[in-house]
Amino acid sequence: MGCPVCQLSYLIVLFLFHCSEARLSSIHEKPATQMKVPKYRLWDVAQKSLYLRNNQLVAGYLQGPNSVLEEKIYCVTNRFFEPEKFPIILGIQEGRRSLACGTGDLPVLQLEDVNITELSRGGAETSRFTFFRSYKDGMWRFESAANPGWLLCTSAQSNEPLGLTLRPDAAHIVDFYFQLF
Amino acid sequence: MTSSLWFICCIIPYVSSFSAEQRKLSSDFVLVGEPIAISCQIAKIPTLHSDYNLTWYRNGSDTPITTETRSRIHQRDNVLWFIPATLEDSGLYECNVRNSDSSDKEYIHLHVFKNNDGLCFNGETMYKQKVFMSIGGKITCPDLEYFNDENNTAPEIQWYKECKPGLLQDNRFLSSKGDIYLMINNVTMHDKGNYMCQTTYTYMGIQHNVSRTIYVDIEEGPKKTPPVFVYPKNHSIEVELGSHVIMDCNISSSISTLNPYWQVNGEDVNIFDNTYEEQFYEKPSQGGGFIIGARFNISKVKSKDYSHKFFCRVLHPYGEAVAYVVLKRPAPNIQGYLIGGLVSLVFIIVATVFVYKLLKIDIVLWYRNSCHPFLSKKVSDGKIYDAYVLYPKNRVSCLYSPDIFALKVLPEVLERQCGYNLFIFGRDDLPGQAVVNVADEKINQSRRVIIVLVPESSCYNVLEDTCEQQLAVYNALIHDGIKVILIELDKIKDYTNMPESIKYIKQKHGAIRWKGDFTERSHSASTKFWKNVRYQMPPRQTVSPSELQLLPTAFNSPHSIMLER
Repeated sequence: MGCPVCQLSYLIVLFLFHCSEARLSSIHEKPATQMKVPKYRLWDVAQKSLYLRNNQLVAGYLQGPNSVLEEKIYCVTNRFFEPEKFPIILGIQEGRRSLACGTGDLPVLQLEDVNITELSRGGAETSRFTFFRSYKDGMWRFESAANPGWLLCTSAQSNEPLGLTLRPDAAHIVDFYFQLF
Repeated sequence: MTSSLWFICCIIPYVSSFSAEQRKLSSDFVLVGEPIAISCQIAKIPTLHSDYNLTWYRNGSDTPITTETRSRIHQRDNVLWFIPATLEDSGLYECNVRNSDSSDKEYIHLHVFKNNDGLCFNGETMYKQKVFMSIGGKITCPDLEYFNDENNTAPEIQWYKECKPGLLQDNRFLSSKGDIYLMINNVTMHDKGNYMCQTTYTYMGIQHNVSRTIYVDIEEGPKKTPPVFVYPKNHSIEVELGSHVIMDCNISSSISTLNPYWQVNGEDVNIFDNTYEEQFYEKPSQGGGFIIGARFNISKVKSKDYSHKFFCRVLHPYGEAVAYVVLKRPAPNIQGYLIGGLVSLVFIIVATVFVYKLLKIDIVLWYRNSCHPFLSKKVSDGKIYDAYVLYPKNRVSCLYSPDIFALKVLPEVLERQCGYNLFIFGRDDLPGQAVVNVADEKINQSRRVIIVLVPESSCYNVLEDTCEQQLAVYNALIHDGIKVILIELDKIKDYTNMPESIKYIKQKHGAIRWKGDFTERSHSASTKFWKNVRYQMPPRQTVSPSELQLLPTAFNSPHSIMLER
């Protein structure tokens, strides 16, 4: 660093580095659309996590290395409904598969291969993919928008599929923790 | 560490090699010497009807596992039992479901493990559960469904923390008899750690321990306070028309999964402008809690963006939080103008001072000429002469003739051209008058005393022999008010031989040096020398006609005197 030439070249390098950095940051500013979609954990008050088994979302206790099987939940707000009801569409696998209520006589919970972001733009027909949320004591309940009164539930037994119930009781758990993964 | 690798290595090959059947593989864990019941998930698929056959196999064996319930390993009601499990039982098991139309398989990997040395658990096979300080909570002793005793009553559970019993002695911990939950009240960070729950299972008269270990994580948890806006904060930002702006609503919240959104003009931003596409985000916050946000790009700010408030709203369990930001056209750079203004002001002041220094004499003379007659009070100061002129008389031998200067040049300019009234000794004194008396009297009647100096070398001992100059100087210095104007007819290098009084005046007021000649040609009052003299002279007195009448005729018309002489 003693010689002036060294100092000069050092300054030039510093300047070039600064320029390249400035250019990079200006590029970075642009694609705000490529933001990471947040992933959430949904687990019931009995501490059961959700995982996929036989193409079904199942609530159970994941022991040791099995915890990696826990399904990440993706969620978008359905802007078609009143925001006061916290209307959301839930999905798994990067949001490619959505949680839906079947169209039969009794509502049955199922997974459908529809992207949640596509549904978030939809209208009234998205109601069977939509859940209204209510909050109490740090926990959420999820009511089917298409089936008033029907709540998302787990069984008190472990490794049973996620379902819907009209009557929360000891066997049907409807309170969930819902938090960033 | 090695055992964790072992587990991961076990899982990954299966996950990858059975890619089609990956959903049909799971792992079960059991402590060596404890019983375990393994169930088959495909039996629970709703499409399967009740009339199916379920058979368990150990992988690689065609012989079904026995349904003989006295056997250590047996199938009972579609469940595979190990009472108890031994290390050799580790391995892959196949559950085969058949009905009239189809068959399906599911593989389950059983891992029989030992506890870590000196501990009541194996760090790799823990369940993970989470409790929030703000709301309290419960942890669950998991996977005990199959271990109801022979009377089908729920097992009694013992709880341990870090392998120590007596947890329930702390009344913050509560576990009802027959309950698989452990309630924790007034949760603190110290409650984080390894918990073990243990029960017994009696089968065929033999009691077996059933234990589960849980790592309990404690988090701050959601609070009953509304989210707080980090940005915007009901403010405005200055942005240029056409510039690129990222509108980022940033909120700190203790509750996760809340969804902020932007609105403008009472509608969603994408309706206001279809290029405004919102993106939501959420990330953990440094001090616990979460940062939630919604952001969109304004790639080019348009005029309409300036006319509305952009609201960011977020609904939360206790209401709604709203904050806005307004885009404003940038104000002109006040700082730049301020600096520019100050610089120009300083420049103007400096220039003015400089010009004044340079043109001070001209300005004063101009002022006297044009304004003074109107502004000055026209009250006589009782003096008759504007100046009393002292000069070395009869020095013909001098190179610089003070006589010519005093008697010709001076009156020509100051009296004829400028209208001053001078008393020149040797011109205006009457013969026979005592020099001292005349000098004393006339100096007192003068506003200035002009002393004409010549260099000693050319005209030795100029003033010494006259007492009038002594008087003049004395009057000027002591009876202050009479200002002395020194005029050098040539450069005087050495003042040492001059009287002290002259030295003092020279030092205090300086001297004006004459550079012209003594020819008879007319001298202009507007040369630098004469301007200097006029500057030092008093402003010309405008005397009222009544006063004029009282003056002697001689003083009234100096020109006539000049003519007479």
